[in-house]
Amino acid sequence: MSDRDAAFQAYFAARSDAMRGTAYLLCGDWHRAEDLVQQTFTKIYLAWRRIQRHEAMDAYTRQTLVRTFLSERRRGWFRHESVGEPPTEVPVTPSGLPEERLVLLGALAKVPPKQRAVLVLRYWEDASVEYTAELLGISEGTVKSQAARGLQTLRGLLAEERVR
Amino acid sequence: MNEQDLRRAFHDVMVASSPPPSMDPSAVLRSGRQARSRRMAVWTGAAVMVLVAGVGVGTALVANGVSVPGLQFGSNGSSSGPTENNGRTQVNGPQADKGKELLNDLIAMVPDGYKTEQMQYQDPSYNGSDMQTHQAQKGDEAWEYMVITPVQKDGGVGKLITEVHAVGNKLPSEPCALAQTFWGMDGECQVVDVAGKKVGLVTKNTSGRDDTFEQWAAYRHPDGTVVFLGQNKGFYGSRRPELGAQVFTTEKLASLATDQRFHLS
Repeated sequence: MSDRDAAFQAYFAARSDAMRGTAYLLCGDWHRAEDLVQQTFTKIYLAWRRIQRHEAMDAYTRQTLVRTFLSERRRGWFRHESVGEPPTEVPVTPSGLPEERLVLLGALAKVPPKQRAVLVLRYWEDASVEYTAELLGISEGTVKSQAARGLQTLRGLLAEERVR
Repeated sequence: MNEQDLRRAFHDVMVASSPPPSMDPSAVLRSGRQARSRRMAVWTGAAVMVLVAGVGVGTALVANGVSVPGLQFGSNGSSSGPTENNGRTQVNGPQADKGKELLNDLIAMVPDGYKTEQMQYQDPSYNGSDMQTHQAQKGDEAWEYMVITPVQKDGGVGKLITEVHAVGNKLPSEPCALAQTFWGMDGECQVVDVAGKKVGLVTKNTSGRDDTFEQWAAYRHPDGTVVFLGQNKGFYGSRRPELGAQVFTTEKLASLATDQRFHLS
């Protein structure tokens, strides 16, 4: 195995679980999350020589992950490189999750993708407004408004679920 | 639900969910290798098409559904050997030669008092590779050229870069929007006038990345060719001190971005 491949594999082993967690919250199920992580790291592999010269490797990977998620949402999930079953809009029910958390995942899946990405970056990754703006290529003002709208949307969806 | 509630809820979801076993690194590595092979196959196939057809000067290739005009071989080409490609990168051929010329042109613009000789990275993660580089690659829409050179003075090492996107690129027209596409970096940008030409000039990098460039200028020629010219007082990975000052004033940086020597096809 070349040095490049060994370094890539080591990086993947170290970071793929964390990236998959973020992908899970973005996608709503592990199958999609793994597909997204695979696409992300394939892109990272192709750009490895250029990226490895950058100190902020994780930032690049996270940015690629989120942008791939948004891009795939625009094009339609699994149009490319998918070997899985076509997903439904509602996430696959993860076993063992309390009902309340299932409701949250279901509601999150209905939040528009860009708002969802902002929510996950801000409140799961604990990313700053500035960093979130950089990752998504949008202004800081847009991050704030998308976060506020996303929370509002989520509140509304959860309230609907509780009424049912 | 407020922000804190959502933080807790995300945490609870992740704790309560049962993630599958960690992904297999070798499977992702295979995927990466296959993707790289597909890229290379596009190029190899395109080159073979031309060679088999015995076509020489001025042939237009069709690679991956994209017309690649002007890829020339043979005696009228400036390279004597066969064209070699690594993915989209041309390492021997007319575009590769243009990349070399671009590097020479950039070096020629460096003021007296600076050295611009080849150096090697000292950071072990760079495996001792060269710091002065030139590259020509076929982008999705047009040829792209990128040259980088270290500049030395008084023990310090800085960095200059020129990146040119040939006609056909889909980069923005507005100068500052154009400037902010450079390596995906944000910065404090203003539009400056250089003899009637509008240049996007970033005087402060606000992207938070310290391994790139502090200042850069972006200019779109009337025919659509785009030129980026950037500078940094330091050279990340060199393990050498920074220069005491930028090589060019910002006015000069903007002016040089419009220089015809950077106007490649």
